[in-house]
Amino acid sequence: MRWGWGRDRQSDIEEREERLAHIRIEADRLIEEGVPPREAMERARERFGYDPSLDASDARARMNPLEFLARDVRQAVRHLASAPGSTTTILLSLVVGIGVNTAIFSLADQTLVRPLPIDEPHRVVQLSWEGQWVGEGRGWGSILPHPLFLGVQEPGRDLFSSIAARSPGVATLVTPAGPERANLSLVTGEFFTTMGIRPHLGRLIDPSDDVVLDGHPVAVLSHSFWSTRYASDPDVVGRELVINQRPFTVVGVAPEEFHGTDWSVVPVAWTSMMMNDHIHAWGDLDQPRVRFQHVFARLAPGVSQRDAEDAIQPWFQRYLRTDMEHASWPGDREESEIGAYLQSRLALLDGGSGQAARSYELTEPVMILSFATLLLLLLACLNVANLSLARAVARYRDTAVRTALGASRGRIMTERFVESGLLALVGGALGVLMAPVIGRWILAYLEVGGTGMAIDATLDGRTLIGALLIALVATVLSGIGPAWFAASTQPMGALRSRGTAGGVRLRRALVVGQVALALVLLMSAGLFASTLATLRAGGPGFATDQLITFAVHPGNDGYGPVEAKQRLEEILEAARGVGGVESAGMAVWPMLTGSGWGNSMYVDARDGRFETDLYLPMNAVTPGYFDLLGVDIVRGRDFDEADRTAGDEWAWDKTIVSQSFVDRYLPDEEPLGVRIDFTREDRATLRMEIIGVVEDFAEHRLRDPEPQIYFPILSQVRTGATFYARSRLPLAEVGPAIRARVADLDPVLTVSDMRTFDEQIDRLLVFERLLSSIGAAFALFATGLAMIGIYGVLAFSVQARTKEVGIRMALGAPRIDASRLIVTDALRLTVLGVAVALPLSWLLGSLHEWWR
Amino acid sequence: MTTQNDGNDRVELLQGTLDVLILRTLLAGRQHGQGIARTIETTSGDEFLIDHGSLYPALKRLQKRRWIEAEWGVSSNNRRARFYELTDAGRRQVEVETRRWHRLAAAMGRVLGPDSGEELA
Repeated sequence: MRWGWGRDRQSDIEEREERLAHIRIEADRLIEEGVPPREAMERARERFGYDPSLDASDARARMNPLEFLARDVRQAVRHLASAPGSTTTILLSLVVGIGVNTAIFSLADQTLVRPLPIDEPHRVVQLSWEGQWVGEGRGWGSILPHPLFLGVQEPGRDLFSSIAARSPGVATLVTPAGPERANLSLVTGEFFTTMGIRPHLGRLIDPSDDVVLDGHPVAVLSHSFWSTRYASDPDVVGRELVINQRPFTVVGVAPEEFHGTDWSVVPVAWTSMMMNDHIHAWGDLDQPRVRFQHVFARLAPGVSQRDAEDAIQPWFQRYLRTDMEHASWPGDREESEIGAYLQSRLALLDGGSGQAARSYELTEPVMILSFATLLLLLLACLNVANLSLARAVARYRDTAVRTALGASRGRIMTERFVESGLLALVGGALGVLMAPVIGRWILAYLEVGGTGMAIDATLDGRTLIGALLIALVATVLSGIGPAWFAASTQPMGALRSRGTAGGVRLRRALVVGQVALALVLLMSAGLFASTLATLRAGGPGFATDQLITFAVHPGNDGYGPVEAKQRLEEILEAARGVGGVESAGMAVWPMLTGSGWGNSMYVDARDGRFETDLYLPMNAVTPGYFDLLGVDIVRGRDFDEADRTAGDEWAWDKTIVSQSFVDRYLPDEEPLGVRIDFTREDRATLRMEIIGVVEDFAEHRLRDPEPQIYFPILSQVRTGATFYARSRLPLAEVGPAIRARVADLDPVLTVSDMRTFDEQIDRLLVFERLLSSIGAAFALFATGLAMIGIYGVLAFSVQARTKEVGIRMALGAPRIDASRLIVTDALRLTVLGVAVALPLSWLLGSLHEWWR
Repeated sequence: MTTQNDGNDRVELLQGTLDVLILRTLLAGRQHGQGIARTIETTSGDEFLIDHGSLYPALKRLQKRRWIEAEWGVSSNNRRARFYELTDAGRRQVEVETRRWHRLAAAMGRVLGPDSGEELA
């Protein structure tokens, strides 16, 4: 037996030629004896007993490789069609395995890997503060204060060809399509140069738009906003876009593929950083203690990321020292904190993928999904291998006969690979077709949770290459076993025995693998489902039925803080008057949306003043708010109108804390009357007095209760508030009525984010719901595959043991023994599978725990 | 196995005998496959009929053992054909095999006794 075709073909051709020569020689001889030529040839042929032109090996020799392959493919199709059941199962396994993998691969690629569609993304870096930050807000080091951006211009002159800052903002926009609240991005003059992109229409924000504070009401529209709100108007440049009641001029449209630096929050338009105060973005431009910007830079030609980072450190050290002399520097910091602050570095991170890849919460779910899909693919491959092996075993005798007749090992393996390759190709193609469908299903979940993420379900070249690789791996994984089995067929043994035990050990191993993988997927699905169920069952700590929510932001509709507060009060009154509404209240920050306000606090406890070790969720609310939600004041009292003294948003002197706050920070003393404050001032007593303790409920997240702090809404509100109303009627009836009332009150105001509170929670739990649903789907599919696997192997071994069972029963063994024999066998496989799965599941469980 | 019984009473070629017949035939000089077959058939008084399904494997086998060599040449009536020729080892092998066959035949003859009729053929 030989490997490959080369020598085979050569000697085949020679033999054929030799035989033909012999026929001719014999014919010549007969002619010499006087036989007519034609009859001589016929007799010669007959004499040799065969016609070389009909010889199969001869036919093979004359075929070119393409015909050769075509023949193999035809043969494979015939074989596959002769067993439609297993072919369908194999195809289904492959389609789902490859389809899901392709979809998740595409998702992972778009969210975690792919660089921004910008010029030379590898040259773009993002500045990041690594070390101790002193100031407002915690979070990632890549969020920086504006003065740092201004300062880095000077040392960055030779290192970077351009430097830019951007910050997110939410504003009320009025376009020809009507008013709406939407995400904006505020950028400095060199932002688009740094990204290296060119406008689709008009021009982009440039340094001339970055000169005078509040003096550049210009906007660049995103391509999709331009096409949906302005109907792709080619003359849009120069038209007006109202942002927070002020007319801005549209100067250009960004290219279609550019969604900003964060695919998770896609802006509809870009405007100048100089308009920061008008947009009410997240911070003040002149405050070094407030950070709200991402700073990107494009490395100058010939400068490496590393060199630039080293070169910038001396300046950053000076910046840190100068910063400590700024008026806003808190005088109360410990030596150790100041030491850590001075140890900080300004790192340069890869900026070519934008800032989202590093910070966004989708990272872990996508990683978990990728891992689970890989398991699923592996399971599908095991199943395919198992079924193909069964097929190979069924053809054992056939293969043996062919081997005996001289078919080479290479020949038979080639046929098997053509067969599994064909399956993988068809399965892969169908899988790729299915991938966008699965992708859209996943995105449908995300859409409910986020607003306008720039991920799509369509596949690009990278993904297709990925899918191809996946299909290739699947072919090799699932084809190698059967091919090896077929090739190692020993003709004599096979021809003698009626069946074969061959391959059973391998198949049993495959089934154990399938059971183990299915169990792992089942258990992780269980974990995800129980997480979700726990969160849902626990709920926010109050009844959510009949609770609806909406938001109004008068501060973005042209009103100052005092007028805004008045408008909000009027809306609250109006909402209470709507038919069906039983009670209503409002809070400055929305509850359970994934964003919110929090800070640490100083507490005057009996044993002295201390700072809380946690970042405490807080909110400012109206009197009756807790009542509306249905959470009890367990000590003291609720806010009343008398607590709502004049003053700006921050002038509180009364506060209500949650039970967890008391448990954690004031466990052994009377909480009422204890004073707390944001700053540790050198006063005998801190400013705010605790007047009540409220039951625990969820302000920021649905997990364990957190210490929370509440203040009354005073006489000013800077932007707006979120309203909550208990309603006997469904949202579909109450919603329009509320909108109408608000419009009656003031047509300028825009009502946004109107939904039921249950929907609000669904949005918050988007990833949990996604993982739980996908996990369940995976587990179901995996269990089905494992069942097919067990069934296949058992059916086979039962068949092989019919004789044994028959003999046993003939000798008087009760029927139950026979059943026991088979069931024990099945159980053994399952137990082995469980034994393999347990450590894996334990690992997964810890991973899951860590993720939570 | 060389069996071609066309209904006439040709003798079946015993297993392993074709090789020695080929070698013996080639002792006379180089010859192509068909020539070898014809020679065996005629010298056996047409008792043997050489099946070509056995001839080629036998020729290959002998080549593999380096007892014969082959090369392409032209036959007497101008046909291209593969000609076979004994190697030195093959020449020695003819002697070995011939001696063995004679011993075997003699031994068989002694055991079986004188020819007792057609029924044993």
